Amino acid sequence: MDKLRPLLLIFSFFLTPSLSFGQNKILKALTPDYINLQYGGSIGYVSAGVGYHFLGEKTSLSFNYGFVPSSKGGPLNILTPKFDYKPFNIHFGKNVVWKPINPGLFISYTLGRNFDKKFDPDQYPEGYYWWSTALKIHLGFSTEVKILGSQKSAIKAVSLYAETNTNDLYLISWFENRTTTPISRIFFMGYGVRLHLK
Amino acid sequence: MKQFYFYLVILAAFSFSCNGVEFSPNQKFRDGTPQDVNNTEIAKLKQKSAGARIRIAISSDTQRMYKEAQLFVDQVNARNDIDFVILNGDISDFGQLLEFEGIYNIYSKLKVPFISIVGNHDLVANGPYIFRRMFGEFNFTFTYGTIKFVCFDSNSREYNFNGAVPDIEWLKANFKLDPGTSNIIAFSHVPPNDADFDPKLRPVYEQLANSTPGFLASFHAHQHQPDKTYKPYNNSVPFIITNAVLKRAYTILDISNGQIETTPINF
Repeated sequence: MDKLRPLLLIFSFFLTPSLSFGQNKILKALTPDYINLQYGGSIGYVSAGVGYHFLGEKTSLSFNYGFVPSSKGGPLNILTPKFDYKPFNIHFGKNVVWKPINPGLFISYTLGRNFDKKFDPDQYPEGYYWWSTALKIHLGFSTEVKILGSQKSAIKAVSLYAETNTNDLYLISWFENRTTTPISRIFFMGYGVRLHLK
Repeated sequence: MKQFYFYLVILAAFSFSCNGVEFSPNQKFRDGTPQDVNNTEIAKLKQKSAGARIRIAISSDTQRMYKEAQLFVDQVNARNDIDFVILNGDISDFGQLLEFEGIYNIYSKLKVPFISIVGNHDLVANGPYIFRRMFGEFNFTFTYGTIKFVCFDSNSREYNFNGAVPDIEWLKANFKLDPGTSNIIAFSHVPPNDADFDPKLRPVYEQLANSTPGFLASFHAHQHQPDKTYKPYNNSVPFIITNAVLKRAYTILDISNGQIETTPINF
């Protein structure tokens, strides 16, 4: 947890709606485009994060912290930078936009003593275990409905989304068993809300 | 509108083909994860009565090779002469819940009980928690007919050779014939002559096995090689290293009249 504390501080700083400090340019730049709250999706029982658009609204990068309590198979603390690409917008009237299918790439980093970027070279000969227990690369697909609100309010729009994802190790296992295992077996769901601040 | 239906089809395809919510690939359990499997299987074994000859199918090292595991289970189910099955470690590869569940789902279709022992790959990441909750203890014993089976954790490298694995004191206490038993057979994943077995404890274990009255053989896995037997001393009890499910092989162990016979099977 000690390792985590400064990171949590940074996150809580981001999560504070900083609109009232509009005059401060740095703060304005730091104010996220959206706040993300998610259930499941392989990055926590619940996770929260901040996201920024870049190269327009179709691409975004978010930073998330997720937690799995003991009662749900944890304790696990997970940090996840995430890249989303939302190529399609389908409008329903003035205020509703459906983003039907959005690929995403994210890297989950599980904190804690049981997890390492690399296996300890003092304990294992080189190449004994070749993968990382802490880092996983995930591939996701989401679908999102964005409901636009007033441009004057702090929350300009709200999105609801569902996402299915898998990860590198699941994909490797699936590939080696591809003649007998359907690929759907390695995809898992997550659901979330996005509060758009800009 | 065409585009709309196209998206709808994609959506339906991926939302209906999913397996529910996952909190992390490293989570220790989810809803419906089986628990206490070894005790359940040992209880099933107690319902059976052993004949004069006990026949066991020894399997190991499934390591997320679900196809091979399924072939093994089909083979055992096709023959009616097996008393029970041993799964001698490395059930998973990356120590992930999905892999343990994947192999459990296949092995649970066996018509005979199966008993699982912890392997080094099962002790990676959250593997120790997953194994303990799903299967049970790392060191345990059970009895079938007049044979006492002693199953233990010999994955010394996973504990950085701390001298506590294998647990010699526990083995001393359990390498003892109970009333009604005449022989002992041991199972553990890493063989004593392997670099992953604590080198300081290797002679201790070998001597202990050899000096235990009624001790028939010590069975191991881990090496994914055709069956091998070694004897550290003249007239020693045999230390037998069996092949791997991922190599499409298992071993039949016959026990009768205090004698053992092993037959490797390739499938």
